[in-house]
Amino acid sequence: MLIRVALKSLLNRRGSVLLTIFSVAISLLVLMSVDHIRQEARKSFGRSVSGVDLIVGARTGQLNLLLYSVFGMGNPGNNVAMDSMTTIASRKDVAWAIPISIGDSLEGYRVIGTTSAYFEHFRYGSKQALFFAQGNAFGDDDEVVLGAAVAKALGYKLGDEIVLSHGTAKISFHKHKHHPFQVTGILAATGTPVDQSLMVPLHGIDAMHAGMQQGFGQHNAEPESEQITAFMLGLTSKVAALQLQQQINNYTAEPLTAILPGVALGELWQMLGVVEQTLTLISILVLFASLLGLSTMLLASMQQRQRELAVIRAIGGHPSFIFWLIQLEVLFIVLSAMLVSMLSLWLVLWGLQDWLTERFGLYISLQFLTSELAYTLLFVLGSAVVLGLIPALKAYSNSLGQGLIQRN
Amino acid sequence: MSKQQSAICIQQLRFRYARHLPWVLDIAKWEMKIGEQVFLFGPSGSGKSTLLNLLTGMIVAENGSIEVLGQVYRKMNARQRDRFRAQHIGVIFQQLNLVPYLSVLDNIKLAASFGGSDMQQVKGYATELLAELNMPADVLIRQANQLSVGQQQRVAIARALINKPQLIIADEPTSALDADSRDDFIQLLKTVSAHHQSSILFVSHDRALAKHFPTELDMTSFKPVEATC
Repeated sequence: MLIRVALKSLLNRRGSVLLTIFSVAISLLVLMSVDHIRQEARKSFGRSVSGVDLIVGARTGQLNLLLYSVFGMGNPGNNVAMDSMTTIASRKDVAWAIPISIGDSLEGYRVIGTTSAYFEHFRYGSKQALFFAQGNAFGDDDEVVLGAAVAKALGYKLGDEIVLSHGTAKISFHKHKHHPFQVTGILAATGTPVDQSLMVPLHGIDAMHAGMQQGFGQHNAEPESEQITAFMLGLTSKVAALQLQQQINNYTAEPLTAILPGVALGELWQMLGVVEQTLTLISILVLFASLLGLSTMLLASMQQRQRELAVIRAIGGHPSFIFWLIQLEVLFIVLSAMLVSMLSLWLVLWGLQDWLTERFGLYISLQFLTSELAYTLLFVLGSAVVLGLIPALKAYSNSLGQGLIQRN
Repeated sequence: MSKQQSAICIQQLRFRYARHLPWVLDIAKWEMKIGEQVFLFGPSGSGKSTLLNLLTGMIVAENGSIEVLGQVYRKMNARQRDRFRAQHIGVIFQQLNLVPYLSVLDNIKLAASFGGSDMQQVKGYATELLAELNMPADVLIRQANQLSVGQQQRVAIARALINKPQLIIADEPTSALDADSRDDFIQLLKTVSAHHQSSILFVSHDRALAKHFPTELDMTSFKPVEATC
């Protein structure tokens, strides 16, 4: 009977109740999506590089180096001489080295100049190797391997010819038309920035730029053949990483920075942590505000409900019936808001999933129903009940003190 | 409940809301027998509201004794008093007797659930009562606030009788009705209550209604308790 009365009562005030449900649902949506995207982004970032012991670039901050070498964000300040890599790679404790040269693009997707060592040694996720969905690694200087998202978005197939542009902007007026590349391989999707990249041989990039130099005669005159942006190292023994990092940082031939990817990622989280915490705090405050709004709505309705509550008292309802009636209304509103918000979060994620993956290499799963979320929702429900005490206790005490007679 | 002759028995009752306030009620003795239909004339300021609150157990008097159907409120806790009111007293107000957003049936069911009646039989009994009150059966499924005031008041009678109470307390139940329906309402209330063996205490400030009742009482004529100390 109590449940029936509560439902009918809410239905009777459906206008303000619906608005309240939406306001709570929106704030829950904010809270849940901030939390979910934060966790998924972490997961996604953490997956991007694994099995690489050191990343070496020109002297710069470790975050900067990590961002431009692994995530394709930002631009490198200086280049590194190929000689430095060769020297360092020849050490006994270095198992392999992958050169990386960045600076060209195809419709906003990064072009990475590298060697076949990239396909052999690069690892992502839990030490997974790159896998060719079609074709194989490049052999010649005019061949290119596409990341999964690039191939899908631009619709290239094996054997197609591609003209790259100079610079990393999406629209470029310098197209390397005289040096087209042929697609020899397409990588399987990894859910990392690799999907947004095109891999070409280092020499291919050099040849392309050399051609442009002749063609326009105004390009940077540095002989780029000896230069790369950064390189990744795999060591024979992980223990040597710190020591080698020290030595590379003190490399005398040119100023270099070596970073441990895990440590640099840690620094990234620390920096993003402040942003995350701010976002979380804001979403909690928004939620709190909407729950207060719920409580206010119910409190305001008490005025109109005086008579109805007096009737319940007169026919023998105890004030506790009235208390639970109000609390039940709170519960119904919050539970419906939760349903609405989860449904819309699912819809939003479902709608954005492909776009985020293709554009940013962020793989956001639809699976947001974690046990952590269950605790959060329980906490929200608890807070709602606590805030619901305000109108519920008010109604309780009103109906206790009120006599049988209704005053008009 | 033991052998009870009186529906209401008040002795030596004095009541005030706080120590520094004057006495609101001062009644040496008043008894109303089971099965009686009493008109109580209560002009405003006569302490009518207070008396009704005391009779229904909404408030409790410290001095003197009030027995309703042989029970003493002072010996019960709040929950027991609410339960007692639900089971043994039917209350009818001047208007807005029903929870507006519930159907007539749900209103009656709510009263039945507070009174601990058998919920299986509520619908049948309610239909019976409404028929006696000259209302069509389909009124059961209508929402209370869609009914006219006259209909609402008649539903209030059915609602008041659903738990088969021995006492009906009606507080100005006709003040929102026009003259014709006023007399009809009182006749219906008397007939149906008598049929279901419920006593009626009908309280009003309108003396003209007294003619419908065999017994008339004036609140202002209650003899005060003789001061003992």
